[in-house]
Amino acid sequence: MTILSVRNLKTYFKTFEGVVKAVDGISFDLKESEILALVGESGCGKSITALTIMGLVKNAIFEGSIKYKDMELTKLSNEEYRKIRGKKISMIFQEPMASFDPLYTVGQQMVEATLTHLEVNEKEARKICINMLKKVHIPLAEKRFDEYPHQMSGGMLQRIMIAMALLTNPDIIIADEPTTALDVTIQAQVLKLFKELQETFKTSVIFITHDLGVVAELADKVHVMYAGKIVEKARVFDLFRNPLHPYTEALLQSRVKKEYKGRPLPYIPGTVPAATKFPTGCRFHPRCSKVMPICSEKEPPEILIDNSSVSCWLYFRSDEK
Amino acid sequence: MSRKSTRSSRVYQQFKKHKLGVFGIWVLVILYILIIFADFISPYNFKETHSRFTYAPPTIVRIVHEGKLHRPFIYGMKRTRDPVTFMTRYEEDRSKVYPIKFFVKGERYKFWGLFETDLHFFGIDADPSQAMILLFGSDRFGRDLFSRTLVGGRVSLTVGLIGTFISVIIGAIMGSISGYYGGWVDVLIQRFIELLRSFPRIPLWLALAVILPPSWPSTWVYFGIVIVLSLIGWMGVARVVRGMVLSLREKEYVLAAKVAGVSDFKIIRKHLIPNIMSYLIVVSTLSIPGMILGESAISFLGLGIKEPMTSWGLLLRQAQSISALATSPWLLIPGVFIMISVLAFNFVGDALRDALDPYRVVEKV
Repeated sequence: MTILSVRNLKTYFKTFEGVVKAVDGISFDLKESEILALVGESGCGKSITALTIMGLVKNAIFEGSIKYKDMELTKLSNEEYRKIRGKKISMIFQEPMASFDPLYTVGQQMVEATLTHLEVNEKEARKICINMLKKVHIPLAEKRFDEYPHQMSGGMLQRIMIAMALLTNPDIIIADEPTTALDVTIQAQVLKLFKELQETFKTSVIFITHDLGVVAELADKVHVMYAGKIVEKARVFDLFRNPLHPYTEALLQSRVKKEYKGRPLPYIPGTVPAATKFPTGCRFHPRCSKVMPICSEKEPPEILIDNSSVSCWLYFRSDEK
Repeated sequence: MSRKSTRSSRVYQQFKKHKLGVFGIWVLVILYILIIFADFISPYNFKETHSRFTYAPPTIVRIVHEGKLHRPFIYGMKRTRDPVTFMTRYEEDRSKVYPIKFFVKGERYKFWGLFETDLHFFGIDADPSQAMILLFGSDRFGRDLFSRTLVGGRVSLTVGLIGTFISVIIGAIMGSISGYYGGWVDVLIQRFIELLRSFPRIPLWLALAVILPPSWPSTWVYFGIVIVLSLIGWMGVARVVRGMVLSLREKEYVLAAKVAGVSDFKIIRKHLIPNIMSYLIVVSTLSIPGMILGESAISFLGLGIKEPMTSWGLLLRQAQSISALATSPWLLIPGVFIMISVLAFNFVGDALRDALDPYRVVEKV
């Protein structure tokens, strides 16, 4: 069952340099208890997509629709949105250290979130929170509950943040690069825990990352974003075995591998275009190794191939067949 | 050890290092004790006039009488008239000795407006019509300036506290709304602040003070002045709070709170204001002197506290005329008190700022 359906979503910002098309017409579906990875370089619009779904982007021009179950989120009032935020859709952030208010104990902040959405008194809230801390394997949960964020490690805080996101048993969790700030050993630990909890709670997850290793480990489906658009949608297995879009291919190639030892690492030439001045046609064409004349003229259509879809002129003919 | 206790003990340690700040605290403690027990400590009722002692100079407390050590005492005062200028003069009458006694009975007063008593902390055993102990001299009506200064301090020193409290609250609320919401709310509040700030301060005080009806009793006028002062004093606080909130609202924990569905009001109250608390404490301490001076200015110009109630500014009003000032310079003593308290608050504010500033490089011990 589809739990979140995004159609032709656009988020534009008006600035002095022109209109920034941070998110430019993306569509995707999120099914129940599915992990969808949103992959792309920095500045491709992943995080803005997440914040737009949360309804937290201010002073922007929106278009398109975001449907949660049968509810059209774009039409909600602020107050109605607030009741969904944190209760039905939660979010996990990149910087666990910065995401807690240094003035309060983690317990106080968890209780605050609990009391906002659940009809319980403070004592019960405390119980729920400590229970949740135990579920994310925080040792000495009762003691940790009354400690301040600075007394904990980044990995621990990230686990507490996952616990907070799960407190209200939400339908969707948006995880915005939750492991980027952690060191690699802790990363694996947190990811394992995350996967474990996702399976127990049957939560749907939008996992935003630029780390393809994490994607391979965690996701069911992968959407690759480039310059505000989704260029390829595929199941995780298909994507790694048979990347369709040249950008995806290049991304996969630029990962550090054993074979590259002693040789310069492959990379994608050029830089991500500025969001005010996108190239005409396919936005990837100036950096693409398989560029054709049509690429700079017309925007490629979304072409379905087996279980995947790709926006690239390379596959145009195969679509006609 | 929990974070709270280490932080407060660190602040305390830092504060103690600031010698002037510690000195300022002690001065303030003494001043506030003096004004809390003002009518008990003062030897006379501050409203009582004494026609035999108009414009009397400060009495000198002595300990040597006729070459011998004596317990602290004062001589009696003889009132004479200059045969040429007809000005009143006061001369010490060395034949009469009035030893200073503690816990003496004197003029009646109502302590804190609660119960009537005639017990004074110190004084002399004599009827005020015969002899008086006037530490700071007396005014035109022969009222004891020492008693009046203590009682006047009640107004001057509390106006600062209450006024600052109100203005910091207004400033914090307006500033955080302005910074947090941004957009047209921000523009509106900021332009309003600029408008208020572009008014010249003293005429604005006066204009607002004139609104207070002259028929009001002293206590009402007092609160009126507090409100006038705080209505003008909040803008500076609001501006800085806005700036701090502008940077704080981009912090991830504010975003995290929003994502958790916490309401805007609660975010401001529980996450933004507490995070700027140390600034608010410092700015309050540093703006109290401005309030004290403001009240003095209003009262000095005759639009504030009315007689027979008094404040330091109002006491200074008597020193407005050159002739009074030339013959009785002791009328300026309340001004010294204003200076002392303003300086003390500034010292304490400085010390607090140094102690609370987390970005200060702490010397390694």
